Amino acid sequence: MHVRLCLVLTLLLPVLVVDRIEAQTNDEIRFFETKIRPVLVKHCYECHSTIEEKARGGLKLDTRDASRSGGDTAPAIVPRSPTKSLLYESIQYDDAEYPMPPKGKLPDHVIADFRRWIEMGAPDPRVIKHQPNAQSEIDIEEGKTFWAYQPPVMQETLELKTAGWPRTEIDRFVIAKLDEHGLHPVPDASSEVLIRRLFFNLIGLPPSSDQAVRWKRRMDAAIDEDAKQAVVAELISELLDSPHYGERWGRHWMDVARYAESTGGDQNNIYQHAWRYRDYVIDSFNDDKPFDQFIREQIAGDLLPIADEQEWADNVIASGFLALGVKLVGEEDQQKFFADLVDEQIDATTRAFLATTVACARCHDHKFDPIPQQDYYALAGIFRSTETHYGLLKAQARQATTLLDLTGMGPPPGTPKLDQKELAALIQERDDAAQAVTDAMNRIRSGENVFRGMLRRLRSQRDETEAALQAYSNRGEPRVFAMGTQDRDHVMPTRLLIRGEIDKPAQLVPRGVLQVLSPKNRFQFNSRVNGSGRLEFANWIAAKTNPLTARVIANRVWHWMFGQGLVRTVDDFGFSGDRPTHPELLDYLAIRLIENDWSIKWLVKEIAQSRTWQLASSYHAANDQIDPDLQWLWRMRHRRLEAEVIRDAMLAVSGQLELERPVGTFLREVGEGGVGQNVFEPVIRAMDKDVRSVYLPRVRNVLPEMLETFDAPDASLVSGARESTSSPLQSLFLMNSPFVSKQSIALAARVEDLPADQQIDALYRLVFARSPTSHEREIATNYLATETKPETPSGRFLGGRFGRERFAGGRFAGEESARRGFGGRFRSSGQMSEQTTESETGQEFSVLASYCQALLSTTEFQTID
Amino acid sequence: MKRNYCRQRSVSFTRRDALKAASAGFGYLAFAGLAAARDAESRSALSPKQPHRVPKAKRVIFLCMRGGPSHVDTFDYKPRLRHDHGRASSYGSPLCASSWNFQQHGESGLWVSELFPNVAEHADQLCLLRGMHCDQPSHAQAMLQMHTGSFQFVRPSMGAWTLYGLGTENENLPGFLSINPPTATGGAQNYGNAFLPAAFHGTKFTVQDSSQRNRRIDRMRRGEVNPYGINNAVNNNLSTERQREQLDLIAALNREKLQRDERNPLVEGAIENFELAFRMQDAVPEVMDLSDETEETLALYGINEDPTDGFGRQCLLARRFAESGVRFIELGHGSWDQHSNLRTALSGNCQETDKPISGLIADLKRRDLLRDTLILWGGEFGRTPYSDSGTGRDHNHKGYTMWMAGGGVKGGLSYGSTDEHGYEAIENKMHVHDWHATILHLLGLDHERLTFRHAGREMRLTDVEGSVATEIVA
Repeated sequence: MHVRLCLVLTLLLPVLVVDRIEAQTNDEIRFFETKIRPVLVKHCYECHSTIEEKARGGLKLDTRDASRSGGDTAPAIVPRSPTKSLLYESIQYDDAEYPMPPKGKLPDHVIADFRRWIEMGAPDPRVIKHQPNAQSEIDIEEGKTFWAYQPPVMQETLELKTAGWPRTEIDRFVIAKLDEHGLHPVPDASSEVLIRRLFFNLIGLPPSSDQAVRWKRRMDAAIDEDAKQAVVAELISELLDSPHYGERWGRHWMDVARYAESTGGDQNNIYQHAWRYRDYVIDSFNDDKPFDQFIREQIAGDLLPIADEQEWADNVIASGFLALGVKLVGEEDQQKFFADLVDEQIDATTRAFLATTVACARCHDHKFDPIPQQDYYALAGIFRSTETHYGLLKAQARQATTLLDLTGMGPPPGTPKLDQKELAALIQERDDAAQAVTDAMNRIRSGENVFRGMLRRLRSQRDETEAALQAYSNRGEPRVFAMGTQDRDHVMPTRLLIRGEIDKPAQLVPRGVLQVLSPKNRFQFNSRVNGSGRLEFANWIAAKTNPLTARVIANRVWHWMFGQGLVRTVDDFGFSGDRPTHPELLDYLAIRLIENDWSIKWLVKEIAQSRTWQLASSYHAANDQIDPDLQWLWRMRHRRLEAEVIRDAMLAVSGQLELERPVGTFLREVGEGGVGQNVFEPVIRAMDKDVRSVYLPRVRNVLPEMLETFDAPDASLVSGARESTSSPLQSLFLMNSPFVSKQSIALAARVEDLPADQQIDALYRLVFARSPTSHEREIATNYLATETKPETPSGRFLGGRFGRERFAGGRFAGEESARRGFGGRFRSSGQMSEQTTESETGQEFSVLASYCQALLSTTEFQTID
Repeated sequence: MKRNYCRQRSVSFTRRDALKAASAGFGYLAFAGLAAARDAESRSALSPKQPHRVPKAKRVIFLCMRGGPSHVDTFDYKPRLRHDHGRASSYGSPLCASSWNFQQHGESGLWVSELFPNVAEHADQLCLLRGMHCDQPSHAQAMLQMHTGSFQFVRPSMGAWTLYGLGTENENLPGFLSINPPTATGGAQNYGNAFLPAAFHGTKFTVQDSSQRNRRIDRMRRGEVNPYGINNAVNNNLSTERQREQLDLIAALNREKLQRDERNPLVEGAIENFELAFRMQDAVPEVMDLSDETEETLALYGINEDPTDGFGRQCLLARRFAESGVRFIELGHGSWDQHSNLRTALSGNCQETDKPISGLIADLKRRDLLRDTLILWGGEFGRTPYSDSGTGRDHNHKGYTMWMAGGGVKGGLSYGSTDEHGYEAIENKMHVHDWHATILHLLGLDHERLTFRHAGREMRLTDVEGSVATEIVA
């Protein structure tokens, strides 16, 4: 039902065949030992063996199986068929694509030996021996007694000392702990604070002035607490219904999913199609997709029952979760690459959904948790039986794969249609590039010395143009590709590897799930399970009976609401993680989440309606003595907003934010390839796009500067809790970056036409969603008045007329100058100062803009209380 | 102990008093008067303080080799290991001899492997700590313990404690810098202030990595948007005076909030950071501009050559920051986590760092800075004398080597030892807590008296542990 794009040579299945020992006669073995092995050792091992840690071209020649499975191109040795054996072709030298050995052709009689050897079936005693079965010393049943592996339990109603305080069930659990520790909750937050908190937490945007005023009026007009809470509930519902909720909460999930648009690692090639997963996540949160369904789609979307092609396409995009991790695509050794790919998938899946570090059991039993090495290989069997499609071009990345073609199934294209002329140009480009390769090959055949790097570059160009062309139909319609997974045709038998090493296989491990989370002896898949077993694995994670799944997501949501989880280590529920501060509350949330059909919106609302969440953030000395880390929740914590939210908020208050979702990715112009100058530029330029930050390019190791400065994660690992650092580099960004000064000018322009006495109030409502205090008003008045006194031209925020011209129509023209810092020409500007005999209003505007910048630079703007 | 604690606390009283004084007034007059309060305040937090005793070292340069460098291949000579190569060990896997030869160096005759030919020339300056051990064999936890003393709780890093105890000598630069810190393995906690006041937080600088690719990107960065080593060091809109007024405005607004909140570390941190950032605008580009260094000096650090350029620049910057009065400078290099491929990867790491480190020692020495600059070298743990894979070594927290140089330690000294194979520390063992206690001691600080009250307890870098290795103090 789907067509795969074949841009590259078929990906060879890395097979670790160690089971068959063919009958080999002593004579044959002797022939190998005397005629073949010495030649291999002398001429080949240097570049193609484990002992030298080299696998040029992905090829190793030091075991029988490695020789037969071959490298990147084809099997090196096909028994009984010298003509199909690439090794034989290579040692014949003259017409070979890879004449070997590089130092010179072997003597004819040696070549003849190889022919004879292959013809006799390539007998080869270099078979990897199985290691003795690995035994685990972990006591699984003992391990099950750990809190996280016990099923959640709904607690009976608690006896409360402070019976009048709770508003919801959550509050009952919280106040019980507060009482226990002699803590007293602070008063409720003011409606202004609460409104701002709700907007930022739920949709990641500040309330507009109107919204802030309207909701405050309604809350304050409520006749009693119940009435006020009804208004709060209404606001919560309105925010949850907003399409911006998905952008906010989808971004949270992308931290967990280590979402990025490049491979990272050694070469850092761009994933051109990762953005589809981004949009899928945002849509899923907006649709309030049941979380168990969300899990199934990401792990096994391609295997779920479907009604139509559109659904299949969406599910395949979801499985991109497994495809977009960090990869070392320059790795020569295909088996190693494949093992690392599987490892990354195990790590991401178990951390994201189970907050469990199964990947620690790759080389030995888990050092802290009851996870024997067998469990790792039981999961490895599942992912080994899965094909991962992440794209890239073979000429650019040694370990490239195809993508999944979803053209015509519903998902929109990410690029515009080509007209006839553009298409013809693209075809011409491809033909030229192909011709260049042919020419170069001909020159090589005719004995000319062609620089290898040049050949590589030509091939890369050919593949790049071919790929660019393949991205369109022959009528110029863009095709739709996605990253994702498919089952292999066959299940790959998987052996436990002693110390995780490919050449030390021990016993076969049947596919299955984690023992400590399963009933006794019920952790292995039935041998009738067809396909990879991913669907069974996904169903097992998403099951109501899995003691971790609901707790882990409930805790994540709690973390995103409060800035700290009930289990502080949100990605690790194991022995080296923290214990829950409120285990009964966590269980309550997990159970209720399942009862509410795994609705994340339900859970967000449940938390937002609690009195605990609506507390003020005010200080209380006695409480602080007892609980400075706020683990018992006696007040709300002050939280710095995330990098994306600060940027979005600046754009929002300056009136510049574009709320439409852009199509595709800003990396489109980069094309296929590794990260370099070509990527750096678009990433920098993207900062000038006024879209929400969730849509900015997300290239590993090349985060937009502002996001990096304010602690956005680099997506190398599952990361459910962000750092929140404070540094003078952030201050420098606020003081001096073109971005902030651009927003300051735009913000000033929003209020400059108001009468002076209204400007300050208007700005406070825009920026802080509140009115200024009288002291703040006084500070502002004084600042604005003092600053308009005549001064040297270099002191101007910007020359009024020029600044605003560029700002005409509410948008900036001239990205180039904006990037340089539009004030640039006014600063050292002796030349400007003379001609710009400025009007009073010009100066006033400068001062107003510098005042606006100060507002955007305050901690209050960048934090929620 | 008590007296010191009172002195430390008086710091925060001053801050609070300043705050009250600042916010008691009104209007622009009070606002203008803030400058004085501001100066008084940051001076009290970060200005130089008297240590508990006469210090041997005034500043620290910590060369942090992330991932766990193999001691048995570098600074812990184990002849038995070669002898027993391939034999089954009592620890599990077969023993694995070092692939490198060791030689004695200098008058002291310290054994150093051929991986560090340049550093070995300074053998008589080195104080090898060959009996190191810590509590955890996993990266994140050992890394956090090395930096903060604790692998379980969020605690201030030793740089923050140092700053808290001594203040800084140059208020125009961060007193505590971490250059290229790790993003994983504890992340920002490794240079965080935790419960200490925000002024003591470490500032992260990113300086080009040693890998070719990053260097290329960094050149672009520097060419395109970052000509001053850090971004946004120049304001294109405002004169210095006008910017000063704008920052006073920001500070006034932040203070308004702080007054309302009574306590809010986020605001306190921002107030400190803006002041520092303002002063850094001039100071940092100057320090990071290497154009006044001679060719000879650049060559000394291996700058502009492969593969030493990346770490060479970091080391030279460390000297420049040290000269400028930065109290605690940490440099990051890694990864040294060679589970396999030890032969090429470890020698690669050593080639990248050997000359730069040797250059740093030599340069500090000739500028008479080595005397009172304490250099620390090492990672979160070492590696096993046996090999699981046959081509690499495992994590080993039970015995490993770090070294110190300068700053009042005895040079040419080998202190402590591991067993015959280098597996476990057996003599003059030095736990990370002891290491911390000794570092503070060299800085003139008593690790038992350098305390801060948090959660009802007097907290220390060394918790309730730690003893000073007085034998290594010159």
